[in-house]
Amino acid sequence: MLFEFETNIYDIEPSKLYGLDEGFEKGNMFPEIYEGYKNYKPKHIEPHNERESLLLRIMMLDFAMNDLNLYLALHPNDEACFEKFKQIAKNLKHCTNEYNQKYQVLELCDDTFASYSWNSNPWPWEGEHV
Amino acid sequence: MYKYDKKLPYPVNIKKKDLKMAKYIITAYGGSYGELGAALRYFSQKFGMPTEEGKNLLNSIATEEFGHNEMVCSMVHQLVKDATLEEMKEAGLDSLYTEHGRGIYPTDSNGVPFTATYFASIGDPLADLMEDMAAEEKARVMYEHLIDLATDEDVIQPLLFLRQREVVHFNRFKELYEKYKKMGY
Repeated sequence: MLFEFETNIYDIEPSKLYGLDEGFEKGNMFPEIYEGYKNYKPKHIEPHNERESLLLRIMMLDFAMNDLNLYLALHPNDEACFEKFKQIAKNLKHCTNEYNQKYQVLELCDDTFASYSWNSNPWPWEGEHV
Repeated sequence: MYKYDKKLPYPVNIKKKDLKMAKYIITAYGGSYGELGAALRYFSQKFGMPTEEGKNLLNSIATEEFGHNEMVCSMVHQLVKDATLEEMKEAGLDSLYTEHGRGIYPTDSNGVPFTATYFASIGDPLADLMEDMAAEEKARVMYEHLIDLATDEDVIQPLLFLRQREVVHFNRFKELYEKYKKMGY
């Protein structure tokens, strides 16, 4: 862990799930359905600065939330999984708030600071913002 | 409704231009196994799903696929954005330049434009889900072909991620299919 954040996202310890980093890098939170390709290995993503590091955490949490949701759609009574889902969703909110205040807003509805910023922030397809 | 989120599902940060690779990867947007067809397939089929779990699954995967479209287009954009006309000609992209410049347009890697005939929506949950499972498998193989052709880690990593999502979606669709089969749909 390169940087410390106000929000500790590492308090989630899923039993039958990959950790947040590993699941994100693999593109799959569920070890039992993971299928690699040949000898290709998913690479660990190194952030270049504190902003990228926090954005990566947000991407990881968002990814995990979505992947758990696909499972929960079919297993709505899996309480342990729903508990994990709730922790992840809560942490996602915290991290997003922190990012909005420190760096830039990610959703239009959060553009409520001193001046209009939706134009001036980088767009994700330009590749410079992770 | 849909809301825009100013981030990608997985980072795309390609530093080296590669025009040939761009020509191949565009099929993951507008080809018959591409993300645009996937997104529209599940988006359309969700209206025909008979239970809450089916509506949720199809809607959630459709939404995810729209994000994958932005990832794929970001890859193509970054692979061609700094190319000179000379380089495009050399890579055999002069016809692409004629039609689209350095812009993004949904075609397959042969330049054939996207068409809605790449997917079906027949209003029967078992038939639709059987198509979805096949679609995810074919998309997985398409990504494997792209990974085979790629040499740059910056390109391979997002492709591996997208390939794995096809694996996950296939498994979820299969689960729903088996559930519906048991329920007698």
